[in-house]
Amino acid sequence: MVNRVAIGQYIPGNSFLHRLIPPVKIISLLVVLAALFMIKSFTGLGLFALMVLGLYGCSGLPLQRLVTGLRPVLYIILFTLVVYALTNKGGVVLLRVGRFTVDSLGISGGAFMASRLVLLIWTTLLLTFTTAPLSLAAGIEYLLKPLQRLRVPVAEIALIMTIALRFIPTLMEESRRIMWAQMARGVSFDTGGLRQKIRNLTPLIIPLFVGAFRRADELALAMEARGYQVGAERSSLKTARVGPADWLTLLSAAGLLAVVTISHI
Amino acid sequence: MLIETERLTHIYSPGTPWECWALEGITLSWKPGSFVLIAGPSGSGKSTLIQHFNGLLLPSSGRVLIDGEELGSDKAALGRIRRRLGLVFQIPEQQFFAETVFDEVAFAAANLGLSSAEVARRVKVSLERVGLDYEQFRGRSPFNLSAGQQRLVAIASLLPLELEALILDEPAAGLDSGGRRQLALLLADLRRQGMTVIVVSHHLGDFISLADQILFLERGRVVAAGEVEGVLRRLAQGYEPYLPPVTDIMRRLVLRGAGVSTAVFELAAAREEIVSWWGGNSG
Repeated sequence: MVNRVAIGQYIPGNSFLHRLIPPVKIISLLVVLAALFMIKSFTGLGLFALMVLGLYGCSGLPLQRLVTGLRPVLYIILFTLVVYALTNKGGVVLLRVGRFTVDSLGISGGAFMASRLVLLIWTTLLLTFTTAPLSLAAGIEYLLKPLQRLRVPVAEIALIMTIALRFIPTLMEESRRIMWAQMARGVSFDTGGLRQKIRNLTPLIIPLFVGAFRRADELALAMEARGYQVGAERSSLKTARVGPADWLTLLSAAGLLAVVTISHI
Repeated sequence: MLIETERLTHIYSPGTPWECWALEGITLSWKPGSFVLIAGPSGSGKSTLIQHFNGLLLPSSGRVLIDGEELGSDKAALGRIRRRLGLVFQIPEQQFFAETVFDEVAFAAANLGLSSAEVARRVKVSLERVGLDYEQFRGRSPFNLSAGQQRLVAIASLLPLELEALILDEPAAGLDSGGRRQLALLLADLRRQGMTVIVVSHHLGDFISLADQILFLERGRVVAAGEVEGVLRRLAQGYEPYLPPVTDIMRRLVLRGAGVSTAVFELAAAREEIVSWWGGNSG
């Protein structure tokens, strides 16, 4: 249960998408998604899909991950399809069940929304597949910096985000270890009724919490030992500079949005 | 308990950029009642190997056989194996969750569905086997014990299962020398009672006087396996840092021309060996 590779997990690589600096990637993603929502025809969606698949191809990502990436949102997509099919009226009546009718416009509208959702997820996965979580957090921190003027504690929010991201794999690994240790003491986590299953969680959750608190304690101590202070200005070891590829990406994203808006595709 | 593997290979995250060959073609066979040391550098696959013996991990290819029965994905069969073969993880104190030592140790017995009188009896026996006084410790919180006592309670928490084999992953890590000695006594005791004991350890010195077999791994492959003396002889060629300290000293003496045996790993035996060579030399 905890062993599975997480959704949209970073896949190391060295393609041009991997090398773009995170803030540029995030802005470009938002612009491209805006363009996606301006698209009005299946032709447009088709062209957009070709572009996304092309980007996947040239960044060396395994295409099968596109399918597995959709699994967690499969029900949302199906739900969208069904709701659209039942509520949008017009065109030819295709199916009649009691009071409910399904019209051809409903089906095509549902299919359009579902395809748009799929493309939305695929485009977003392009970002998370090619950006390490910690760089992503740094990118978000950079983009939120202007909010500091409004006294939003951006650095602290970013730190919380970074720490959370940093410890997700650690805690997943730890819960697997504790689960195994308790299985060695005769617990079976996947048999028994619901009641038994809930009761079996105690020997998993308590050690996990004890461990998390211990880690938090150690982390706080380690940070203080290295001079961390709330509110103090911090510099970064690695500073990214916007290169030609970054400018080109931003321009292409803006260009895409402009083309889609003007052409009414 | 007879523990065997045939061409056991384990690959983590196959088909991804994280793919990692943790074990490659391990074949071994350990007779019931053996005391086996598994050693090797960090990342050599020691922990991965032992997690196959009770089916927490299943082989990518090859087979694991316990008393001739192949481990597969049959959950009921794996449950039965886990009641006979105990696995103590690294730093096992981290799995504590109960309020008292009694509840902690009773957990495994309670999972067997035994009567409360039988659970209490087994807890008492288990605590006494690891050398902790039942009346004194039963009511204490497992979180407030010394590191050595916590380790002993963690091991005791598996004993109510009435195991045929016990596997321990780095059981001496973080213990002081007193704790180590107590642990060695416990393992010697378990072995005397006919239990198969398998210990993973960086330091061959810790339990070598108890061992009758050593398996030395490096990068998922077997470097040396078999009787203690033969393995140490093999390790003396290229793996000197892993030799028990006493054995390493004897090896250095031989290199300087002393006529002593290198198959010695305890201080007392080393002294005897040196004294007898010295005596023979001058006389």
